[in-house]
Amino acid sequence: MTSHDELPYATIRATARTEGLVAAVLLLHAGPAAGRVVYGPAGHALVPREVASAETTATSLGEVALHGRSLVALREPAMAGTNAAWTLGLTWLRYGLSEGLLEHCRSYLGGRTSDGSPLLLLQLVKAQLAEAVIEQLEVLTVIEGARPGDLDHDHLTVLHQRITLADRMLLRLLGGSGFRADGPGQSAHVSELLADAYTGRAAK
Amino acid sequence: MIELNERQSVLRAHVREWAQELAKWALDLERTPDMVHELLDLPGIRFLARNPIPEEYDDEPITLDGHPFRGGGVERVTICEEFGAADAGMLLAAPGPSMSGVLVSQLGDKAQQELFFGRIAERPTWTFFALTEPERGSDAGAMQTTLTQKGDRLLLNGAKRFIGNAIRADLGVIFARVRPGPLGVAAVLADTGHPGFVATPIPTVGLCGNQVTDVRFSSVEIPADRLLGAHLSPSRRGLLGAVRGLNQLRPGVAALGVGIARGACDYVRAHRRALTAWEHAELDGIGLRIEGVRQLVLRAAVASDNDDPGLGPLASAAKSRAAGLAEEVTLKSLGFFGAGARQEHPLLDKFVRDARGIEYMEGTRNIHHLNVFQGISQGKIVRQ
Repeated sequence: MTSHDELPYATIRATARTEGLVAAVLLLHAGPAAGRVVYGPAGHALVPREVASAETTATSLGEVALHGRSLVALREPAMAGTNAAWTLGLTWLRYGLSEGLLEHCRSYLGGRTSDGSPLLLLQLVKAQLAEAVIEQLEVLTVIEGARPGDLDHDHLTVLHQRITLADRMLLRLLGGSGFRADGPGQSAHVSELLADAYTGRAAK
Repeated sequence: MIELNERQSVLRAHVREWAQELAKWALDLERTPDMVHELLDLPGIRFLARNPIPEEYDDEPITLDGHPFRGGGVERVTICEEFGAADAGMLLAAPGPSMSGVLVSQLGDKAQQELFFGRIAERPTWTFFALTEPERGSDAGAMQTTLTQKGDRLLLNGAKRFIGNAIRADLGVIFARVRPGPLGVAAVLADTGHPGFVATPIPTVGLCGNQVTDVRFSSVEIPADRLLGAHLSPSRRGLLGAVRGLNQLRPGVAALGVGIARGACDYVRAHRRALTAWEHAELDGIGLRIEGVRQLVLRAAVASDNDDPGLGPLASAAKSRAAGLAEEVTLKSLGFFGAGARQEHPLLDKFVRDARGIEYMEGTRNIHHLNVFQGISQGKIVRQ
């Protein structure tokens, strides 16, 4: 597979939204590298432990827990590089996670009340939810129909930054529960770590 | 511009040195929050453990370079910014009067203050402050934890959420409902050793040193004389007392946010070799932005020290802006290190995670925006 072969982006997006980050990352890795670890521009990777176990030369930089699963941070400078199809896939993955976070917010805010009224119906909350969705829509509009290579690495990096901002807007609406490591806030955190490993440029 | 005076500058210099020393254990504390017990003899923790204690309960006042320090708004924000720039988690993990101290000072009678501050002065004592409840977040008016009279005792039943340090604490202030209505909420000074008090840690994305907890009270018996503010009018105790106390504390939380932003910025300057001219300009711009929010925080702190009626909305403005600043600057700081920054720079990653925690401490941005609007409509701020 070359870096310009398309991946099943719709499935990756849906998997991220409904089954979560680890399932979607496994799916993403199953594509271009047949289960082998893909590394970012400076030779970093963040992969589920079962994928990391096949790596023998990489340095482990630590682990991060996510809802009972574990992801391993790896560094292998010899494998540094960018893969257009994969990075676009990661954009769809993080977009799907962001969609899942939006659904969680709507459900959470619809179930909580202030002075007897659902939080979701407060104008302030509606406006912030809308702002986050506008952010998501901007990203979606750019990546819909894009084929690997249509968007260069810097462009994809910017889209990832926008997804992070959308996630942060949504997390704020969850108050303290968005900061719990056993809730959606941890998934958003690991999503940011994925963007960190696979986007941007290698430091000079 | 608001400048620190000589006395406040002395405090800043000492706290900066102490906080930077403690920052060596920042990542260890994250992994093992209990390790704060091993740091109790270090000057930064010893300072926090005793700051502030009112003059009448303290035989050994804190004196630095000949200046006494007794607490107050500007002192608090100075301390908080320095710890925020080093490790906010360490400040939140430390023993000391913290939020409860403000409430006990405001609402406690002489015996209650002697009990509380006597224990603080005697040995390192962790305290907690329990207002937020599960499912109700910032909606304190919907509080369901109850305090009922049983002879000469009070029975406490209910639950609180996101309560920092409750698992380490000996003492704390708990808000509970004694009857329906807005004036039906009271504060009580409770020992954690009473049967029926159970605190369970909640894992968090950042600020792990704080060890926030879920706390459950199952018929916890509390002596009736621990009810705070019984000697005050109903309008000065309970929730209104909490609001007054939180208004005083909020600039400190805002200063933590400013500190986190500054810490991330300092980290970039210390660890990025050979910045480009554009990067220098970018960092200088960030520095100016931090200074602007610092000024806002100091303005709120001065209002706190002056009993300014505009304190509430000013503190909210500072907190709201500082929470945003911390998130914005920490995310931007990653860009100076390129791909893989969060893996290669765990302390910077910690600043990024900790920044998210400032948002939910002491009320989220929405609550503060509403407070600011109230301040505008009531003519408490931006008045000629």
